[in-house]
Amino acid sequence: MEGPAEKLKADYSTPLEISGLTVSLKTKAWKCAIVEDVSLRVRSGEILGLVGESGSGKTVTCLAALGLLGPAWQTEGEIRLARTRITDAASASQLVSVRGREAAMIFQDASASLNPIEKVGKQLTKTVARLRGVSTGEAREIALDLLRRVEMPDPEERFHSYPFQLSGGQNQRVMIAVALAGRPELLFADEPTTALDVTVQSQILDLIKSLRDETKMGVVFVTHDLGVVKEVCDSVAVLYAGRIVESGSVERIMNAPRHPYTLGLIESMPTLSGHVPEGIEGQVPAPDKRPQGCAFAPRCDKAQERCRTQLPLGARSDGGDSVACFFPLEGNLGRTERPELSSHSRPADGPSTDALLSLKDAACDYDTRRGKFRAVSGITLSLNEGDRLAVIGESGSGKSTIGKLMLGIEPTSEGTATFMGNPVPILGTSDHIAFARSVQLVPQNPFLSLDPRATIGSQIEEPLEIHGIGTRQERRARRCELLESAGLSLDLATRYPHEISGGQCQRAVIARALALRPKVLICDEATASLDVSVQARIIELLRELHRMHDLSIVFITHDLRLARSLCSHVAVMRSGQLVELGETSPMFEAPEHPYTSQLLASMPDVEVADSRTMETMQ
Amino acid sequence: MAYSDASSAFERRTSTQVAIAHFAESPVIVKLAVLWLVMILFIAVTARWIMPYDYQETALLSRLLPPGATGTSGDFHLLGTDHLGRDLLSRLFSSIQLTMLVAVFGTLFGAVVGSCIGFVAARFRGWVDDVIMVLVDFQASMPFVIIALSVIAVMGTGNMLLFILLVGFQGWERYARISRGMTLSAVNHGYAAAIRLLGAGTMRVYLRHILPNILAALVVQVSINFPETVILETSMSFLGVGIQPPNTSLGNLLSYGRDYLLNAWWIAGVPGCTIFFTTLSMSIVGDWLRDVLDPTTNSGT
Ligand SMILES: Nc1ncnc2c1ncn2[C@@H]1O[C@H](COP(=O)(O)OP(=O)(O)O)[C@@H](O)[C@H]1O
Ligand code: SF4
Ligand SMILES: [Mg+2]
Repeated sequence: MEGPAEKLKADYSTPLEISGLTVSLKTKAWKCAIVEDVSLRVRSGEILGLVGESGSGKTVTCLAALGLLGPAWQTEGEIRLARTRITDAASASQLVSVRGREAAMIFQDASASLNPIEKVGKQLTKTVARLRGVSTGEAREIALDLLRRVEMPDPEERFHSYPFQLSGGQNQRVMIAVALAGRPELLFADEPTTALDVTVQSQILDLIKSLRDETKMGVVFVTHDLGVVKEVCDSVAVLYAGRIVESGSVERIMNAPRHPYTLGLIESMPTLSGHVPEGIEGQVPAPDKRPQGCAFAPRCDKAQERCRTQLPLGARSDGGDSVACFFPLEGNLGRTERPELSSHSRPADGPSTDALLSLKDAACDYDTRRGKFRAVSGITLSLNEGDRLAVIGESGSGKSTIGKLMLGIEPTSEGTATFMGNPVPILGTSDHIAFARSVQLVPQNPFLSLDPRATIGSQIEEPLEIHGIGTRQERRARRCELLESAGLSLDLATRYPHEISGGQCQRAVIARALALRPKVLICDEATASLDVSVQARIIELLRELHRMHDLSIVFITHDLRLARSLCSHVAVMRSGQLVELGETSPMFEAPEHPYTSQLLASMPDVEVADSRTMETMQ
Repeated sequence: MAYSDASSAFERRTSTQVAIAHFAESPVIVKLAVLWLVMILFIAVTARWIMPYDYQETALLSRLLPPGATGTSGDFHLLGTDHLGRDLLSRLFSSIQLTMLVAVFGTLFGAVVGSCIGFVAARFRGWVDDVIMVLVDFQASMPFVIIALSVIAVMGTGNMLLFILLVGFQGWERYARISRGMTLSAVNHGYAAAIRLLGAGTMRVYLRHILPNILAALVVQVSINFPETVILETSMSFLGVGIQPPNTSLGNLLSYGRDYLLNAWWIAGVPGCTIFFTTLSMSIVGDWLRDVLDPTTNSGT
């Protein structure tokens, strides 16, 4: 009998070949296909982008290819990794010999994948010694060399650091070095830059590209950011509900998508030139609730009778173009320009008399074990009625601290924070209760900011109850109104947070924040934990609310493209200082501060050429 | 109204339905344990009416009758009689009643006080937290019986209310630890902060939001503490510093039986088995509850 992970005489130029892969999750009682009939091929030196919303099966596909799925999973179809065929029956030792040597994987959270209590150099040395079978001394040399190759600053010194002493980007570099230790022919990268700052992200992307050029390894790059895809990938496979719906070269896909879902994803991306993202209605069906026929049909505006009953022929990613759709789109992508939101022309820092919320020379200290830490200082900015102010910057630059000062969560250590001429009261004082009616927060993670054991409806009503507004009936009526204006159906009122999707949770949080009819909404990375298609719909909602309710918005984000599509003014933060402040379009076209230019340059963007944005959709 | 119509169309199970479904799927041993506890509770509530004889009535002619014997006056004793000829079944019922009374009220008292102490520590942090945590550590490193005995030594025996409070107090430090820890993590979880930002006061945040979220953990702790309270009560009564005659608890029964272990084993055996099976059942149900209420194994409410 042939071994299940038998060595094949193979074609070195195609390190990964998957055909007809179906992966199912199996228990005693039921079996459910997570990934269905996926075929793809990666050549040496090729970077294949695997894109799709979360839950579409990207990670499961990668894990299946590496034979990393647990015993509850069943795979059918063929997977060939370099010279090895991966099957369910492959023994652990056979798989171990594959992993690291023939293929390696890096993950989103690098620091969680490294051993926290061992120096990174030692971890790297061990891996090298194990994978290359060399002596420890030699392995050390190779490890150090690997650290140099991943462009780690001060590699000799970092060699003796623990993971927690390194930044996120440096940990990701270590992870990449570990992945390279066995000279793999194929690298799986599952959202490797999602958790990183834009400037660091662009460095890591460059690194992956240059390592690819150098070693000619194939790369499967999983991401949900089409800007990143455009930056690094050669070809793309779009995954939806466990199937590949479209594949082709990156230029073709980005310029002339043929599957409505791909178009939807591209349209969901905000761009630096101010495209207003559109989003895709609805959500990815759970694996056990996938519709018959085309899985995208419930969300597709081109869907016809046939789509609901028949399954379009599967697309395969094998170099050529293919699309799984009965009515593929034709022609090039153009962009519909949407009305710009009104923006008052005024310098955002100017001495404005009618400022709603303003910070003047504000500084904020946090108490730490090593004494006071000044998070921001000398911040002067103001928000007028109807403004949409973006606060952008990298993590740790003090963006959220500005939000906290505006909300009265932290007191100013120097300078002042004022709301309509009065100082912002501090949370916990009696003045703050009245202030809370005017300024509200939409935090980053909607799941975390809703009480898991209270229904959505009762939580939306709660602010009214707290402030004793209206009778029971009136509150009920207002709750329906709020649900509707946040784009939620009324029956969600009786559900619990874990019973609804992330996008719906964020809408519920927004509805709750709007219950008191605030004047200012402070959104702190409010869409960072959402899929791009969902993020686009939340942005649309915020634009709508701004128009209808005359809401002023402070939008804290690390994504410059979002700032561009939503905000009238931008404040750029860098290590606690405000480096540039002004209106959005002039600043994006001609940034004054070099740091702003650097941020703009590192932001991956889906736009190809300026001229294309001018074309309109047929 | 529109939304209630819409919601009824959407099928969802109430928490009672979920609980029943869980119970139906539980292993046989859990069902037996629940059955035993239900029986004990039934006896505790109805002891007064279902006991065949007065539990204090002595009959010197019917002393030390074995289970199932009939006395000289033709009275039947299912579990036999003790050294004073009192009907053991009646005494058992009465003891179960008293033991349960002490355990239920004591445990609830300890749970409420302990949890509140934990809340206070989490709410105020700083030196309040430090002081409370030192007390908690102190308590955790000291057998509670010693404390209980010294309090009784000072206050004297025979005060039933004091005894209940004292017995219930054991384990307060565990509730305090749990409620403090979980409150801190609830605050960090974000929903508490979000609700405070809406203008809510401390009471609303703690009672309406945090308490329901940590209740499951506290309930599990109650189920662990309850048998310990029963044992503490019986051992104190056994030592003669707990429930005083003419009242009787399982501990008292046990201690009378000690002198007759060889010639009348049932006097100690019957209450002994009752204590054993009751605490065992509670532990089994407690373990099961912990699994059911654990949010990581159960996505239901
Ligand atoms: N361990 C698991 N148990 C049950 N379902 C899972 C598990 N892992 C993934 N899934 C399901 O498989 C589907 C695809 O998951 P995944 O590959 O992680 O998607 P993606 O990487 O595209 O976000 C999702 O619907 C997810 O709920
Ligand atoms: S097959 Fe039909 S439903 Fe599916 S994407 Fe194409 S047009 Fe839409
Ligand atoms: Mg994933």
